[in-house]
Amino acid sequence: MKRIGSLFTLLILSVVLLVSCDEMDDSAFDDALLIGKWQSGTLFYTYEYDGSGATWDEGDDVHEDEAQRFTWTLVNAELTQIHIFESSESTVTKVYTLNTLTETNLQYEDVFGKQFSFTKVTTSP
Amino acid sequence: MWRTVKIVIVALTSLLVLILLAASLALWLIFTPQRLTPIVQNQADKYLSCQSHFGNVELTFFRTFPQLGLKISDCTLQNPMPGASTDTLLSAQQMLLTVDVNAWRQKREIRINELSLAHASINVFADSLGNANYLIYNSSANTTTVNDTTSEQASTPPLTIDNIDIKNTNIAYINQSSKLDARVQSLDANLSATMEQNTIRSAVHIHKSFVSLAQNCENYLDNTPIEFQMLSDIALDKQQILIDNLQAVIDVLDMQLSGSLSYQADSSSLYMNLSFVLNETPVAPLLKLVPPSLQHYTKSIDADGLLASAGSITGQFNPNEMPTVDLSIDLENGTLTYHDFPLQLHDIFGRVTFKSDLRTDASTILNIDHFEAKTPLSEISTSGTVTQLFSDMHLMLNTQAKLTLEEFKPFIPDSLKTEVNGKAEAQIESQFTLSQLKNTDLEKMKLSAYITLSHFDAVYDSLALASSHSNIHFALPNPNRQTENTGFAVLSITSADLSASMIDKFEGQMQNSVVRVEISDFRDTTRLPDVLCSFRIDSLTGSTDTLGIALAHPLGQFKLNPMPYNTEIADIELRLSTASTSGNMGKTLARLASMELETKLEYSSREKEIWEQWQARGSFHLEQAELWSEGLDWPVEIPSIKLNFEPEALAIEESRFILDESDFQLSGELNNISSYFRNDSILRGNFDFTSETTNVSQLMNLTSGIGYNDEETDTQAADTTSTGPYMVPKGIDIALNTRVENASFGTDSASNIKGVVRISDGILLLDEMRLETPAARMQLTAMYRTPRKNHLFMGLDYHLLDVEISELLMMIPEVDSLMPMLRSFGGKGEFHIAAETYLDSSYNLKMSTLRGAASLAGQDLVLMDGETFSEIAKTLRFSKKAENKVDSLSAEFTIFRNEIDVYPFVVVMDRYKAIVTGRHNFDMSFDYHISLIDSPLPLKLGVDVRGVIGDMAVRPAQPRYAESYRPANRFAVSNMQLELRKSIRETLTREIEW
Repeated sequence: MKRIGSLFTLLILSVVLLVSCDEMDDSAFDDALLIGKWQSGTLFYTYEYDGSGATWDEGDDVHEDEAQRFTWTLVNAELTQIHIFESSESTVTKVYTLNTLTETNLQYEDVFGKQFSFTKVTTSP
Repeated sequence: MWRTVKIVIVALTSLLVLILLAASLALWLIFTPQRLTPIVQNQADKYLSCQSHFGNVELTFFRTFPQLGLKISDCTLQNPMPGASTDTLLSAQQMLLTVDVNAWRQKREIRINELSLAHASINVFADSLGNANYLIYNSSANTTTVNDTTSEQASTPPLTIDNIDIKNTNIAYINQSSKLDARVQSLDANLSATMEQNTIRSAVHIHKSFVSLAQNCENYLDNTPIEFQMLSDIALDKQQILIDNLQAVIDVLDMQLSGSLSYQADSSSLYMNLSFVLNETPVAPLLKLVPPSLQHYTKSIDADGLLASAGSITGQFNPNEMPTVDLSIDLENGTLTYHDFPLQLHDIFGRVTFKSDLRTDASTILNIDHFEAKTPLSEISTSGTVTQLFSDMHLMLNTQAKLTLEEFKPFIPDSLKTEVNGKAEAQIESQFTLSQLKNTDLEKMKLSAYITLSHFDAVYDSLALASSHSNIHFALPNPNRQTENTGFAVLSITSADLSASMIDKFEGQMQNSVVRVEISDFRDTTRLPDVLCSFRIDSLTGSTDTLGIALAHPLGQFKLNPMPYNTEIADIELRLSTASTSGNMGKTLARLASMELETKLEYSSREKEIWEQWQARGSFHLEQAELWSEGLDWPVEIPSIKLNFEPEALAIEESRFILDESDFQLSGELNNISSYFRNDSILRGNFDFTSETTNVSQLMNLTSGIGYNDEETDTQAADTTSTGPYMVPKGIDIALNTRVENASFGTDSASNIKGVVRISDGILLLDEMRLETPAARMQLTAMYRTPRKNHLFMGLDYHLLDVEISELLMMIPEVDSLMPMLRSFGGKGEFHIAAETYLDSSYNLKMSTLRGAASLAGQDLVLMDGETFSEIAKTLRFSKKAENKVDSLSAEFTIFRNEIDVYPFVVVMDRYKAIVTGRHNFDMSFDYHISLIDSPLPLKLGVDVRGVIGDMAVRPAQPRYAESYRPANRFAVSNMQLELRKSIRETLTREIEW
């Protein structure tokens, strides 16, 4: 019994330490700053409060009313964008790590180190 | 003997001398004018109430030998009356009365041998009150002798007047009550009469005299020469006149009359039994006898010819009865010019008979036995009868005419801008009354006309009609109606050639045509007319500035009836067959070998839109048709098509089309046609499409852009050098169950294509299309939308089985961008991609919109030798003995924009097994990692491959995957494939709301 209690104590401690280490390693961003329309060249992204978003590239003669949908979540610095197909409910998931998120700037990179930088166009779509 | 004779002669001569001597003595000594004149004057004063004057009265003997005569010179009777133009009733230069004394002495017979009147003037006048100047007999002087006279009349002795001779006498008779003014000038007349037993037998001969007659200020005769001869018996007791012969010449009128007139006291009627003959009389002078009040009718007429007449008048004449008149009138060599009638008539011949009781229609008839007349270039003849002359005149005529139409130009008002030329021969039978004609009661009239037109042409404003030879038959009513309601009229036209044109509008020609039209009363505006039209034409051509059509041997029937439930809606049946047809619309040309059309149309003029006005049902059969369109470099050939149609549906029983490289058969149904045009529904269809060869690109170009507005297609229209992208038709939902043996799409080709192609309101769907190419067997499910020309959506699930990788790269070069490593492999594999993207108008990918997943699997692939592979093999320490062959390969990718992320997959090669993962981009930049998880070597090796094609860096790296690592199958493609098919299924089965 004493041995079981020791193992349980060790397990709790490990979990606490793991969680503590995670919070300490990752930077947290205010997802409210993400809400709005962001532009990078001809590429645009919009983020809504309800976790939905849309993207279009005017360089490809795509307009805002023709934007493609996605959903997004921001957990600490990890920005996950799930792009939804028009013809079906299929998705393509893209995960990025935020480097900068201010009222005017947004920078993130993907797992291959490809970086993206946006400037906010409007605060609220 | 001679002595005796001599003695007798001497005695008689002596006796005669004595008689003469005695008479001379009596005349000269006893009955001298001085003695006789007062006696006569006294008697005249006694018996006449007027003033009389006798210049000289004497007895004549020698002059009137052997009768005794009484000669009165300078006789004057004057009876002045107010209003009379003269006081003189009688003024005679000389009067002579010769009496046969012996007749009276021996037979008690009054015989007046001669009563002559010379150089006299008689003026008879009666005023409006009936007072006449000839009432000069003094009745008071006769009172005492009335009884005697009466007794004498009871035994009236025979009276004979051998001769009444009137010379150079003027007679005037003026009756103010009847407003009659009659004058005879230079009257020379002889009259003899014999009275026996109340019968006066008379002979009257009026030599040429001049008569003027006026009544009511109307001059009926004006110093007209008249000659008159009459033999008659007057039965005083029977009050009858028998006219043996009456000959009269009134100016140019030369007539004979005979018969009887009798007064029947019991019925107070005059019975007439007269016959007369009017000898040939020239018409021109006859017209001069027309009274002035009627001359306005004739003043514009110049007529001539010879008029003759004969007839009889028989029967009672009284206020209740009229005698029967039976007469005939003949006209020969007549001419007529009427000032308002531009044509002069000549060679007028006619015969008319008229029989009538002058009271009732039943006993009255006018027969036009024959009438003919000619104009300079035309002629007309007619015959028939006219009845009901006293009520509604009824005419029944048979008329023939040969008309030169140019002659009738003056009859056409200039305002009509009409010109007619040619010749017309007509035979017209007609029956009608004047009231029917006046009221245009066509349904009560009978009219049948056969008209032959030759060298006919007519121009009305800009409309022209011409025919070298046409026969026209028109009948009213229709004697041989083929339907119950088309008995009103029939028109049949048989024409060798007929052309019609309107300037700047159209031209049409028919050769050897027979057209027959039956019709109901078209004047009834409350209902549509019934029409039955059948036609048979050898050749029919027509053209406008943009349209042209030529039909060979069109044969058919057109039938129009008002619907029973609503007579304003037309029920039309049309049957048409042609041997061959050709036509053009602009630069679009069509030609077909034969056509059969049977249709039933409902037409309602109350509807506004044409598809609402016309509701069609029927069948259509076409053989050997070809269509050349301006936009096509090749003809559309239709070897055969047989279809049935109705307002909402079109059913193609069988058809075959050849469109350049496409040869296909089509059958099936098209629905919601009228609803589609009413914008109530989309057009739905389901067809079986079977083809030996099909050029998909060509067919797509044919249907591209249907249902798009100008704004959506303006770019396409502006760019005429390019066919543009395929714009999926809108407003239609068509499914093609395809079975194509061989198909081409651009430079690609496929065979054994099966599956459903559906165009659903702007969406093109391919549902599990199976096809084969030289490189692979394929299955394609796809969705293609065209929201706008430069923004084309495509979602697809493309599954290639047993694909030869090199062929795949050639067939779909985009695969090289997706999986550039495939360049390094040879052999057959399985390729599967599910993706969606937008394309521009040139079908270039819009990379920013690309999302998808792909997989590639293969066995026993040959690894193509290459610099990069050599570098990798060298870094991973591959044995040189390793076979250049990949045993198995199974890779999955996700695609997002220009990023292709490669999920870790295993490559087995000989005794080597490696995990490959990474990313490459469409710009051909790479970031890959390879971990060797199984090899003959005791080492764990890995490499990173980065760079671009031609500048690839291969660096040893820490392997990321352990020996035991086995990549999980993510089924990314399969999931997308399922989702796409699910979505397509939903699209296929959804009912589009309208």
